[in-house]
Amino acid sequence: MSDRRRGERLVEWTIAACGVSAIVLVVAIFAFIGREGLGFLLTHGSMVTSTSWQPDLDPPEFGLLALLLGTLWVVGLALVIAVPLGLAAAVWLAEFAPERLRDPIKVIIELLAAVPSVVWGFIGVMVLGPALQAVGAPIGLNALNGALLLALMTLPLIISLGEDALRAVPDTYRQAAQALGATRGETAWHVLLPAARSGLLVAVLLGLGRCVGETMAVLMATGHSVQLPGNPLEPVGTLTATIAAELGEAARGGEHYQALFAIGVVLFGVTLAVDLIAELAIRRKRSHGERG
Amino acid sequence: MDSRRLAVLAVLLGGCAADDRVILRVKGSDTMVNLMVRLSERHAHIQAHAAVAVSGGGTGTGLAGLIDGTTDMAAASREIKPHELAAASARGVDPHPTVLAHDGLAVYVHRDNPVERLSIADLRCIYAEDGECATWSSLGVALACPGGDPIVRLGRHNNSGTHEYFRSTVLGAHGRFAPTMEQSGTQQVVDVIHTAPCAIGYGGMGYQSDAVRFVCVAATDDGPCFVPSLASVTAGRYPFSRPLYLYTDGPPTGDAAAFITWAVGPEGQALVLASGFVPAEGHA
Repeated sequence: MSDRRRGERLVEWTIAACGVSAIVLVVAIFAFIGREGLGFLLTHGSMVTSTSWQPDLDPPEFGLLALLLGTLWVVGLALVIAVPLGLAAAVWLAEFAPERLRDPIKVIIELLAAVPSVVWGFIGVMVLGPALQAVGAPIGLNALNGALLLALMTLPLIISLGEDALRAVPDTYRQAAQALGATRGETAWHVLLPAARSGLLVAVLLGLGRCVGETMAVLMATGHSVQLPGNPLEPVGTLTATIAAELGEAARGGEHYQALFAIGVVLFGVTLAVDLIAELAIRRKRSHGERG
Repeated sequence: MDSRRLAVLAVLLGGCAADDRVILRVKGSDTMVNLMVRLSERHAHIQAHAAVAVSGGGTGTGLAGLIDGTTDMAAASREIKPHELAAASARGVDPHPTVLAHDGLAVYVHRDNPVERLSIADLRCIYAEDGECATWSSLGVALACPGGDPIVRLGRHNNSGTHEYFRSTVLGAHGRFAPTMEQSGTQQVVDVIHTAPCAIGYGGMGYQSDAVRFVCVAATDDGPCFVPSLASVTAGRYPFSRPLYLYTDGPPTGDAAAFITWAVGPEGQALVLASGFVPAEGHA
C-alpha cells in the first residue's frame, strides 16, 4: 500500500471516529440522565400530575407539573414576543432592506447571539426588573422579565434562519406575483411567507428548543417561585432553574437528587419532541420541493 | 457566591507560606458563611499551618458532606435530623455538635414598609400554603407599590437550615409553603427587598442594612414583640432564636479541635459579635 493510500485511510478513520463519537456521546448523556432519573420517574408517575414541589417536606413531595407549566409559560410568552418580531425582521431583511445595509445588520444581529446567558440574566436583574417595576409590576423578577430575555436571546436565531428561508424562495415566485400586479408587501405576505413556511417553522422551532433549555438567565430573572402560572407579572419557577438551583445541594443518590434527574428526563423529552417536529418539518419541506 | 470563592482562595493563598500546612474543610450553612470566612481569615494569621477552607451550599449539603467524608466540619443552622443521623451511623460517622453562636432569624421588610409588628400567626398567614394574607391591607398595613399591595414572599432554598427552621417554627413540621421566591442566601433576600417595597423575607440577623429593616416579631397576637438583638436573643425573648453549630465526626480532635476551641474562645466570639450574631453562652 502506498503512503498516500495509507494517509487517506487514516483520515477516513479519523473522520469516522469523530462521527461515531458524537453518537456515543448523545447515547451516553441519555443513559446517564436516564440511569439517575428514569427509574424514579417511572416509580413516581404522580410527579407529572402533582403541582407540589416541596422536596424538604417529610415525606417529600416531588410534583413537577407547576415547573413544567412554568417553563411552557415563560417560553410561550417569549415566542409571542419573538416570533412576530423575528419574522417581520426576517422579511424586512430579505425583501426590503437596502443591499448595502443588509450585511452590517446581519452581523450585528449575529453578535447578539454571542452574548452569554449569564449576561442576559444580569441585564434582567439590573435593567429589566426595575423597568418592569416602574411600569406597574409588584416585583421586577417575574415571568415577563424571563420571557423578554428569552425573546432577545432567540431573535437572532429566528431572524437569520427566517431570512435564509425567505431568500431561498425562487425569484420566479416574486416575478409571477409582480406580473399579477401585487405590491412588494402583498408579495411578501401572500406569496413568500406561505412559500417559505416550512423553513420559517424550523426557525421558530429551533428558537423554541433554545428557550426551553435556557437556564441561567431564566433562573436569575424569573424570581424562581414554584407556582402555577397566572399573571405574566408574577414570579415563576421553571424546570431548568430548579435543577440549577438545587442539584448542588441535593445529597448524591438521594431521592431529591433522583427527582432532579427525573426533571432532566422530562426536559430532555420536551426538547427531543421539539427537535423531532423540526426535523419532520425539514423533511416535509424537502419532499414538497421547497428549496433552501 | 463569588465573594465566598474569593475568600476561600484568599485563605488558601494566605496559608501557602508553610509547605506542611493542613487544610481544614468546613462546608454548610449559607447563613454562617460570612462568619466562617471571617473566622478562617483571622485564624490564618494565628495558626498559619492550618488553613480553613470555607464553602456554603446549605446546612443539608454540609451535613451530607460530613457523612460522605468530603468535609471536616459542617456548619449547620439547625440540629441534625434523625434520617441524617441514621445515614451517618450507617457509615460509621458520629456527628458531634459544638454551639458556635446564636442567631435570631430575622424577618426583613423594606425600610419604607410601615408594618410595626407581626405575630407568628401573621407570618403563618403570609407564608402558609393555606394562609389567606395575600395583601398588606389584609394585615392592616397601608402600603402602596406598583400593582397594588401584594405581599411578595421571599425565602431561602429548600436545602437551607434557615428554611427548615422557619418552616418548623412558623408553619409546623409538616406545613407547606405558599409560592415563595427562593433565594440562595440571606444577602440575596435582602437585595431583592431593597428593590421591591412590598416584599418580605427572612434570614440570619447579620444582614441588616440601610435599605431594609427588621420586623418586630411577637410570639402571640397580643404579646409583646421584639426585634432580633444581642439582648433579646441572649435573653431568649426573641421568638426566633436558634443555635448555630459546627458539626465534627466525633468530638473534635487535632487541628479541628484547636480551631473550634479558638472559635468559641474570646477572640472567635468577638468575631461572632462583629458578624452580627450572638455569642455562644458564657461570652455574651
